[in-house]
Amino acid sequence: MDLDMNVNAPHSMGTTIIGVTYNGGVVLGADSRTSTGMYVANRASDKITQLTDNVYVCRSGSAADSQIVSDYVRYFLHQHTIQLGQPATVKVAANLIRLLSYNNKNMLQTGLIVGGWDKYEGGKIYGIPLGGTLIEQPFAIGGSGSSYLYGFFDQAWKEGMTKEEAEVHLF
Amino acid sequence: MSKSVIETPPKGGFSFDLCKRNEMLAKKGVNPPSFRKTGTTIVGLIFQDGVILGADTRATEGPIVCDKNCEKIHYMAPNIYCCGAGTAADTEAVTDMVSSQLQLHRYHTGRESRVVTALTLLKRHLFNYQGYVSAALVLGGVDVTGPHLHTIYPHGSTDTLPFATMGSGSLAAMAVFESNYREGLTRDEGIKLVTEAICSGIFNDLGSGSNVDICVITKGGKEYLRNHLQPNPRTYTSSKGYSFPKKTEVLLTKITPLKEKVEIIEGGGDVMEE
Repeated sequence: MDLDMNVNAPHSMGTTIIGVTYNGGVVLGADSRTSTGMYVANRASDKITQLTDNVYVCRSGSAADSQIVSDYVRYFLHQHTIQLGQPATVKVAANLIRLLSYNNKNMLQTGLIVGGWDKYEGGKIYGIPLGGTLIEQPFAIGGSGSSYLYGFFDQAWKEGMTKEEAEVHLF
Repeated sequence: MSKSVIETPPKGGFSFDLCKRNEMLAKKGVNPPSFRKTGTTIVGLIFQDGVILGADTRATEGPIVCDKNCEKIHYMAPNIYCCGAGTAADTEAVTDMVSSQLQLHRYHTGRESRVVTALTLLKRHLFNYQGYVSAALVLGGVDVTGPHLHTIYPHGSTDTLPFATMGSGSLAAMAVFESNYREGLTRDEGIKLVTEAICSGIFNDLGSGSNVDICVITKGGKEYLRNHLQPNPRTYTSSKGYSFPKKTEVLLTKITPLKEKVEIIEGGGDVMEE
């Protein structure tokens, strides 16, 4: 009976998501487990979602909420790219997510990390946690697994890493 | 900190106040009548030339089996079918609604429907109702971009997978898939594996039972195998059938002639004048 209740619980992602900048761009990382209570509903989920050619987002929290937010932002960014005639910047993408997260903060249970590259600012990472604030960070960690990573990243991250160094950190 | 956040009223969308009220009443012991649920095993997998969907055929209402041979594989489009678990009324309504939207979309565009279109329409509807439309679906089909299989949860989240299970028997069925699924299964191997997974649900999950329905969708068309396997046939009916040799017995006969009841007036009444 208890198990049954858990399977019917909303789908959420006990997640670890990471975004790291290095000297030439950004690296995003995520695990691939989606769970409903005790049951692993999907052991091969893709929590790193493409928004445009040059902007990706890591999703955590409610699966339904984070999917709807990234679907809307992808749609807005495609429109924006057509109107502008050039790729959207990471800042625009992050700002759109912030707008949706903040305006609907009552309804949404999701934290996101946006990462990407544009010609104006290079590789950028933005964190948009639960309340809908926007934080530009050299590296961002999120999800329920992030508490284990604060200490590690404080010690391991340094300015101007190479791509290889950054990727090693993600593992 | 987050307390004050919750106080502010929502700006748009539906109001779920009555749902909250009903939850409160239920907690206080005022239980609403139950719905017909399909305690279910539904599955799907991708094989070498398409998608195979499978379902059991038991519908329950609390502890009672209310339909022993219901259909849980719903039509969405000629090339797309959808298995439903959860409240029977919701899965039926939501698949019917979206299949009509897809039909109109086909009339408008003159092209075959795509699986992602069905997926988006379903997830939008379910997200709007914040999980109160309790439909858990396995959506499968073949379109111009190839075979697709998705799972959709009542809250509106979706997954894309090579093999999927849903409903109360999903754990039993997933155990079968996890141990025997591989890429590039043939049609017969696929049907066998799906049947095995559904049978695992039928025999190990109390919410699932009766027969196995299967739907094979390929680029060329679809094949709906209703009651592909009947592992639980009725064993208690007489093979000779039942007959009732003694006819209904006549206990009493009494005939009352009509004349006794009617008064006949001869030449009576005035002639009608103009």
